[in-house]
Amino acid sequence: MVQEIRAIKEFVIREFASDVTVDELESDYDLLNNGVIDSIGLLRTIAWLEKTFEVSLDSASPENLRTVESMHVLVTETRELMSGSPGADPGAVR
Amino acid sequence: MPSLRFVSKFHQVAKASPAAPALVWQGETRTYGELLDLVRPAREKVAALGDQGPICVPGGKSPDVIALLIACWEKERPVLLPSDKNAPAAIDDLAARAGCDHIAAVSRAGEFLAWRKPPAECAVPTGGLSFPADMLLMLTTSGSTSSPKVVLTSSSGIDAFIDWARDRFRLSGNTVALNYAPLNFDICLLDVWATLAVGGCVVLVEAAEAVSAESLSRLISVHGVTLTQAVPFFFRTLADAAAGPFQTVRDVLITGEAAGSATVRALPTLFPAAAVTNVYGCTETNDSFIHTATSEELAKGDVLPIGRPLPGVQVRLVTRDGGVVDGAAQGRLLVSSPYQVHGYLEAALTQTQFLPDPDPDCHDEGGSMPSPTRPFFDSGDIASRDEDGVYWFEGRNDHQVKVRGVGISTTSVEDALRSCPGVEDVAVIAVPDDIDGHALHAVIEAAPSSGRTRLTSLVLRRVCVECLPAAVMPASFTIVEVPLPRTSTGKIDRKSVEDAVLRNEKAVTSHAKWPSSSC
Repeated sequence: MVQEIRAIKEFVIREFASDVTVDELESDYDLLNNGVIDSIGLLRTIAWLEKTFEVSLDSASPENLRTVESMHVLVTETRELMSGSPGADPGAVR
Repeated sequence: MPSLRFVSKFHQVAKASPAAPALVWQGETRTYGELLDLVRPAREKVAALGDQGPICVPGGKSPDVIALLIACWEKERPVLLPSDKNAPAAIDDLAARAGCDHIAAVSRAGEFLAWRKPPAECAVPTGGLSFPADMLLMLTTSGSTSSPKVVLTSSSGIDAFIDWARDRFRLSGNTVALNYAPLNFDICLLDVWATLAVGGCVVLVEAAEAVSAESLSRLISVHGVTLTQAVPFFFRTLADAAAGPFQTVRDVLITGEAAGSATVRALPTLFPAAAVTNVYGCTETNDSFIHTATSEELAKGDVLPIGRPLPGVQVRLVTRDGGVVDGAAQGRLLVSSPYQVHGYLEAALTQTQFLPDPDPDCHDEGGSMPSPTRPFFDSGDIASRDEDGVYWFEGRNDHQVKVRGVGISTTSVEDALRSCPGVEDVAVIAVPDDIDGHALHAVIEAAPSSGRTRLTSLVLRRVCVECLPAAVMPASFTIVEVPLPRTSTGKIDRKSVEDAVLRNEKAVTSHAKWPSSSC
């Protein structure tokens, strides 16, 4: 998980904020409201997430990409859906 | 159309054709009868306020907000309509400056929530305010600073403009107007209020839909839009997506800034049955010039002229020393229009921008009668007049530029960034951009490190979001740790900074000149 968040941060920095370090980019920094990622940047981000984490993000909304943290949640939940497992609590019975 | 005459016409239409569509919003159509049903409770909310002062409605765009505005005007309450993109503190300050005792709180879903008062710490004007009797709407200009200029519109001027627009664009109950701009933009006088005054239908474009060619195409096609008025970005969005053709559109109005060549060339394909009109105006004067593009101009992708003055509009081109130039010439554009506003909230500001006729003996084009009492608005724009009497927009007179149709001052962006801890100095450069009109690039000279949090683009962006409207966010931030280049008089050498920005954009040089980080 930590490695995945770091990978997402490295991508955001490489593409949109090359002057900052991984430690300076907080996981909850609002990338949309603060204008770091624009509409075209959203498309690039989705494409990168899909390729890197091997998930399909057809139903992703901008809200899912607002922060590094929300991107990671999106990837994690999508991966769980694709594998058909509840993920967070394997022992949970509904 | 914020005037008593509009209110009267709206009620006539609602009574005669209650089942006719008035608004389309979020996929739902509201008839005139249904809109009137929204006005009634809004009227009670306004009446409950008791007093008679102006009201601030920083709404987004929704049937509830439109009903609330109509209710305010019914009650002859002037409305201050600032952009909801302003920071909340800036709206509070504007409301207090304009003497508004109440601000409408509107939810994100566009529903009226409650009245609130400006915070006590906001500056309340001393000595009271006096408003023209002929005024029911206060608009704000650019919003590029924390305290945008408040414009006092003229109800009779707006009525006259609407009459002109109705005749010029054949507005009627069959008109379906696409409203692309936010409600606080003056161009809504045509596509929202004039359309409602004649019983037409207004298709409201939401902010989220405004950047999606797919959403825009669907709105135009499904609702049979006949008139579109928007900044070039709108047309560019559709053109880039190869949308259309939209056969129902009869009138295309380009406004706000000059359209690029590719956009102009795409218009006949997008709107094969439409007349394309280039419109020029300021919030202060309303539409002042108009040009109907020829098929040759569209095919070639020519830069379109702003055209000729509207009926009754008088024009002066003045040189730097204030002299009026005749014939084919270039100069600063001064406009006196029958549709113009009373002035600004601050009388001193009105006096600096609304000037006496610099050439009272001038004979105007079209034989319009001079109005000795009507001042000329100094637009700050540079225009040229060719030998045929056709006008062309040449640029801004100062650091004012337009980004996504919003007029802004690069100076005010610099001021905001300069207030950020760790910033020694800053230069904001506006570079022409095909899509946004201009893109802003900020070059920041960082103060010597004092062990605090390092200055980064993320920190600077946060400052911009807090202080400035969204359109003003620079496209790039370059942080340097050496002094910015300066002229012999000690001022920042903007030309050198601009050259460096352009070189960086094209990525043909390294950052050798400045040890910088750019993003």
